[in-house]
Amino acid sequence: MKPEWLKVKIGSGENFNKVRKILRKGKLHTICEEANCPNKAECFGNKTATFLILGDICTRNCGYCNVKKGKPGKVDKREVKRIKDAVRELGLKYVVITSVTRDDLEDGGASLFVESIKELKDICKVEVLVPDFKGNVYALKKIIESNPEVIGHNIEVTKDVFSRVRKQGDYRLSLKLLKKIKKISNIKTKSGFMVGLGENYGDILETLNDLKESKVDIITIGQYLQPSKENLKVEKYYTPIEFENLKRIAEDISFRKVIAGPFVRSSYHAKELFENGR
Amino acid sequence: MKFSKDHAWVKEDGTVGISDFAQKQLKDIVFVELPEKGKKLEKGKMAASIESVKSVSDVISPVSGKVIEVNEKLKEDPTLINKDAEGRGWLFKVKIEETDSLMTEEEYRKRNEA
Repeated sequence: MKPEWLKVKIGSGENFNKVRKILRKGKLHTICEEANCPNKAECFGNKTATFLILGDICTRNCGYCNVKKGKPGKVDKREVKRIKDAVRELGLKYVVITSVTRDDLEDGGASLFVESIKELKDICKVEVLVPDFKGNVYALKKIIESNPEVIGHNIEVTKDVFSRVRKQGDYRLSLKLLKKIKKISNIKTKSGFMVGLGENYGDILETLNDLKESKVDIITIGQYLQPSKENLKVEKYYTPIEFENLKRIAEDISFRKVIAGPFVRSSYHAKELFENGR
Repeated sequence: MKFSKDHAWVKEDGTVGISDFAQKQLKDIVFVELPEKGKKLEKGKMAASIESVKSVSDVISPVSGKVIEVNEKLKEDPTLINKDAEGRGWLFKVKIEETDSLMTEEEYRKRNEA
């Protein structure tokens, strides 16, 4: 049996069901549901969710991820309006928008991020969690210009593990993207990674130093959990104490804000993290 | 068949299991820890644990009563819960006292429909 600290609740209760109903009504996707996030019961229970734009099919094939893979459909331009309706109905004051990776689109879907930020800005604060846009600086610039509160881009795993599990990704490219944001703006940046995929403490430290070198402000570290039989196996379950230590290690590198724990995901408690990290 | 808000069901004969909705939330089930025969369960308290590939969840007993039988087949094939949560994937059987405060099937399905 898995360790006690990995116990999750199956959602229930009024808010949980209300959020699900609002999402279905708006034909919206969330990373919470697509990735079967362990925090879903908690976050939906608090009437919050992380919206997934550009459909629910990803063009990449990362071994740890539960999001459907394949050929995505046409971009749904009405999606943003429906997100806005949902945000209003949920009364959210801080929203995280993320997307599947759309290597099939010329701008990687950046324009829809931009539209989301513009559309939502008058009713709430917006944090975006973006893909690497295959290094397309123009796409990234458009997002920077629309000035969200936070731009997140996850390195996802440590350097050593990266090439093994993110074959279509590029560790250096992701670091460059994060650095670029800081080079041309004051927007807060955020990056996170999972542990438990076979890395050692040296790898973790190296990755943290690389993220520091890219001037990342906020760091999230969480436990990799195998979403389905088809995904990569967990190599190690870190204890809550080990996560405390990882947090301290990252804090010693003097990031503005660090959150680490078994169920920490990059959008987990994003609002609080943003507010406390100011 | 009646349901609890914690996604457990109980039949008139005292058979208890988790709902199909719950099974879908858990996904690939790999291990089930069932209560021992003769154990006195308390309504609203943990009765069993279900481990999925991803995590672990408690099963909250929808009724109070003594366990009179457990589904031994789950030891060999816990995926029975994924295949047939409200039938062959039952968990255990209790000598029930009352099921008054539980939801009817219709109420439960309606609550979870989205």
